[in-house]
Amino acid sequence: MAIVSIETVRLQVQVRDKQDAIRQAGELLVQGGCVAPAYVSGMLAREQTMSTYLGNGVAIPHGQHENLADVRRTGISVLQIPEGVEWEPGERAYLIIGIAANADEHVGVLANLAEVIEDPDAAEQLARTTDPMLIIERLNRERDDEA
Amino acid sequence: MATSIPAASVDTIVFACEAGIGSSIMGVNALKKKLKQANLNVNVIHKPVRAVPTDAKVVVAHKGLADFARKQAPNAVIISFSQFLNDPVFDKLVQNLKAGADIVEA
Repeated sequence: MAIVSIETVRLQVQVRDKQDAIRQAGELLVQGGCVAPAYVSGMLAREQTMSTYLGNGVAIPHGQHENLADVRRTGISVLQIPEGVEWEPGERAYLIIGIAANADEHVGVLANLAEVIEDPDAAEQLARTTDPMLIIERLNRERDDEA
Repeated sequence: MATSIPAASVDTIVFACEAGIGSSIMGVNALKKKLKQANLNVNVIHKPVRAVPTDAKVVVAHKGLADFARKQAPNAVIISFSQFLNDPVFDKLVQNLKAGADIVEA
């Protein structure tokens, strides 16, 4: 089954700051039945110790080891913030990919995301599109190179 | 504490993670890809930092986990990074492995 679905994707979102973005990405995972609310606190705590900013405007907030019990099923949420939000000094994030996982089902999505991050044009396209299916199809793309 | 190891002695790199949910998976894949592109036959194993084997020779870990990794594997060369993708230390590690140079704690 495809991991990224329309229910947990929000386009043209406005956020106050990075913490607000993490909360909103986490809340989508809660609403989607992927995690217990405590997971969202874990996402905020994780970000304090190690940033999940990956480059080219993409961050992937997720919980910590102690939150694995709060995960009910693998799920991915997407917040598109066309204006961006400062994630690290001098680095703005436009695509916030919230991750809930306690197994390896989502590694294909992460591999697709890695390709997007390596391709500035693709990253910008997803940061600006008004078609959620463009993001969903790009992240769910089937891969034949799984290691 | 080891501060360097000859490249020829490195057959496995342990990539230490916190939860293993997201960032480290991206980092492991990126490092594997760089090693493959350099035609290097070095394994990368992904381990929670609390489960890093005590006899590991080379451990890469986010700077926030490096001290923990050092306690787990006191004889390993610990290489710490601040960005999971595209941190210059990954390129340097691959270059040194390729050149047969010493792998130095960083």
